[in-house]
Parts: sequence; structure tokens; C-alpha cells
Amino acid sequence: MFFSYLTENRAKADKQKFYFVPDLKYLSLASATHKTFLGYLFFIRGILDLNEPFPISINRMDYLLANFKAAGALEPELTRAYFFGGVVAGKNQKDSLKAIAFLKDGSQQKPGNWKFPFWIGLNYLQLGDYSRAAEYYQKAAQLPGSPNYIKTNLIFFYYKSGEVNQGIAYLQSLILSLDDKKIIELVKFKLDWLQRLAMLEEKVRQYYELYGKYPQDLEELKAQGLISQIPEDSFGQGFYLDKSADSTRPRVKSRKVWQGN
Amino acid sequence: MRKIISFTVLNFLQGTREKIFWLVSFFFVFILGVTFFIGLLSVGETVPVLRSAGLSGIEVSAIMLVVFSLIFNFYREKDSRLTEFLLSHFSRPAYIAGKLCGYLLIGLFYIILAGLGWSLVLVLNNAFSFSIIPALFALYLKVSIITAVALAFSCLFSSYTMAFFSTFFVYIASEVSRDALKIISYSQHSSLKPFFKGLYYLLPNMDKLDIKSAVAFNSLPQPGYFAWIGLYAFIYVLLLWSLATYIFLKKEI
Repeated sequence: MFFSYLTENRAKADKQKFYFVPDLKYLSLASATHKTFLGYLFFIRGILDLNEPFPISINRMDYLLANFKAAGALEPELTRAYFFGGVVAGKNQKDSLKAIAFLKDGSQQKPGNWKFPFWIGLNYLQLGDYSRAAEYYQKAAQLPGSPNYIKTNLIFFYYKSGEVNQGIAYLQSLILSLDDKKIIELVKFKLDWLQRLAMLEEKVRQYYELYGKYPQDLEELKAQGLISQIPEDSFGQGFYLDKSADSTRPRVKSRKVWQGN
Repeated sequence: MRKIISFTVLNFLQGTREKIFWLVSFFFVFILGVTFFIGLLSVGETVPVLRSAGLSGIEVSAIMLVVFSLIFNFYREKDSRLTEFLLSHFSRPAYIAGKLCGYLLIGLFYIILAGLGWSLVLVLNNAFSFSIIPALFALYLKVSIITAVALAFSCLFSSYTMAFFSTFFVYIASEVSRDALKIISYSQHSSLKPFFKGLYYLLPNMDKLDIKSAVAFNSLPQPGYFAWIGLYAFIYVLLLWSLATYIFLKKEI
């Protein structure tokens, strides 16, 4: 014990961590009928390395994804490996792109699992691509087992991406497919709000056609008799005309809605 | 028949009293400890990790036990001329049948003991399910086939090392044969495919007896599956026993 204590800081070998994940083909062969257990070992390895510092020569995201990919390939039921690789591991936009490719690969193997398009949508959301986020959230919402909040919250992405009419069409079709009265009421509430927003955008367009310029604010629509009053904003604190979002034309937005503005 | 039973009991008692039985048991306790800590490290996946790691541990340790114990005892009896003495009381087919049944019993006894220890770990982690019983049954079938392989090689070779490594390689080959066949199917060497396919069907198909993943995720196969794998293992063991008996009858002791 004494010598062990004495040599504690003196006799340490210069250890290097082994950043290697074998080719999946050979890994599958070598793991034989113990694939589940080995898959979990790669899963644990990936989790333990999530917060570890990496040498410059090693690409952190590639290494982590290789571990989670091995885990998912050895045990296809291990969906959580895709969650950690595709959602947790990424630290920047470049990582998010790699995570999307990783999740798309997983999605091909499990096309019926709603979590994959949901996580892909989450990555697009982080990248600020609301249109793609809405596309993948819609895919997730259509798959069996997906929670209702994905279906109803899709409106947020359509709103953010400026595809209001697409959002209305989606919500109208969603109402037809629902059975639960409470959810139908919630969707109708969101649909009303989106239709009011779409109506205002349409009036802004009409104003442009009539006067050759866009209005300064929504009050001008009222002043010119295009609307009788500015409709109530049931989600935020009032609709307004935002000119900063798009340089070519102003857009109708909801003040302080979802903390997005 | 009575002679086979008495020789089976003799082998069972001899096998369970040996150091190797307790060494393997202690090794399994160590595996259980590792399994427990791996379970703690796997975020939100403790139940499948404990189940799959436990089953893998039982399988590897049980195979080690029967292969080492059977081959070691077979050659020790031969070297100490105990076989000659035993053959003066038992016929050669009875000797081989007793040997096989004895070690099949040892495998069963070990799997029950290990299964109880493993169940305790599962209960402590709220991961226990009665689905582990059919999983242990499937695992026992694997161990039975390897026991018969070890016996056949022990009868065939005069060297302890040859018998041990041959059994070991057959076990590895039967474990990886399915994936090897897949690799060959995807490769451009189509001429090799019939050979590997033949080899795959000749070797014990361990992939067909494996339900570790199904148990880990609570998706057990239909009861008919267990009847089929039971029948498959029974026929395989019967063939290997016949082969071992034939070789032993022809051999000079």
C-alpha cells in the first residue's frame, strides 16, 4: 500500500485512449449471438464519452455517432442510441447536420417509428429551418404512436416558416382524422388563430395591389376599410406587421407568441 | 438402463464436487457484479442491459464449465486407467450415455443455480420477468449441444488439447455462422455460397436457439418455437451421441 501510494504520481504510463469502432459488418460477425449485450457496451461507451475532452486529431461527433450507430445496428430495438447520437451529442450546427444524416439512416431501418422524423425535425428546428422542421414533424405526426402534442404544435413551425396556408390545410385535415373532442377543440382554437393571421396577410397583399406599396401597420388596413377591426390574437398579445423578417414584403406576426419574437 | 442412471449420477456427483464447478460459479458471481454496474451506467436501459448481460454471462460460463469439466474428466479417467476399470462394470454405450447424461445434468444444475442468482439481481433492480425461464431453456439447449460436441471430440481425439480446441472452434463457428453466411451472400464470391450454406446447416445453428434480444425487450416467440428448438437440439444431441458411441466402440482404450 505504501509503495502504491508513493508511486501514485510517478509511475504512470503515458496512456492513450483507443478511439476506434470496428466496421459494422465484422462487429456483427464477431458479436455472434451476443449482439444485444455488445450493442449496449457501445451505447454505454458513447454515453460515457459525451462529456469527455477529445484530442484534436479525433472528430468528436464522428466518433460518438460511430458508437451509437454500432449500438443501434447490433440491437435494432435500442432506439435510445439514436436519441443520444442524433439529439444529445451535437454541439453546433455542423454536428446537427451530421446528426440529421445519422437519424435519416436510422429512420430507413425503422420507417414506422415516429421518433426518428421527430428528432430530425428537432435538429432542423435548431438549425432555424422551420419549413423542414414542419415537414418532419408532420411525418412524425402521421406515424402510429406519435403523441398528440406533435400534431397540434405543428402550427408553430408553419407560423415560423411563413407557410400559413399550408398550416391551415394541415390543421383542417387533422380535425377530420381526430376522435377526441378535447383535442379537436384545441386544434380548432389554433386553426381559428391561424385563419385570422392568414386573413390579415391576404389583406396586406390586397392593400399592395390597390396602392402599390405595403401598409406601415395594420391600422392602415382598418383606415382604408379593408378590415372592420384588427382581429383578436388569442395566443399572443396582438397581431402586428413585421418588416424586418422579409426584406421584400412585411409579414403579419403575433406579439410575444411562444417567446419567438 | 439402471447402469446408465447409476453412471449418470456418478458423473453428476463427480462433476459438481470438482473445483472447476465452483471456480466457474465464482466467475459467474463476478459477471453478475459487472452486469449490475453496467446496468447502472446505461441511462434508462437498465432492464434490457441486466437481462442481456446476465444471459450472455450464464451462457459463456455454462459452456466453459461443461467443456472444461467433461474433457478434463474424460482424459483424466483415461490416463489414470479408471476408464478400463469402469468399462469392466459398464458397457461402452452405457459409459458414453452416462457420461453425456451426467454432464447434461451438470449443465442444467449450473443453469438453475446461475438463473437463481441472476433472478435475485433482476428482482433487486425491478427487472424480473418470468420470460427468463424460456430464455434459460433456450440457453440450456445450446449448452446441451456443446456438451455433446465435447463428448464426440473427446472420443475422437487422443489428445486433450485437440478435443478442447476442436470443441471451442465448433462453438465459435456455430455462433458466427449466420453472419458469416450473410457476408458471403453479399460478397462477389457466389461460388463459395453453397459451401458456406452447407457448412451452416452442418454446424449447430446457435442463432436459431438465441432469444436474448427477445427476452431483453419482452417480445418472446410463440410456444411452438420452443417445441421446434427443443426437437432440433434433441435430434442434434442424439446424432452426436450416436457418433460418439460409434467412435468409442471402435477405439482401443
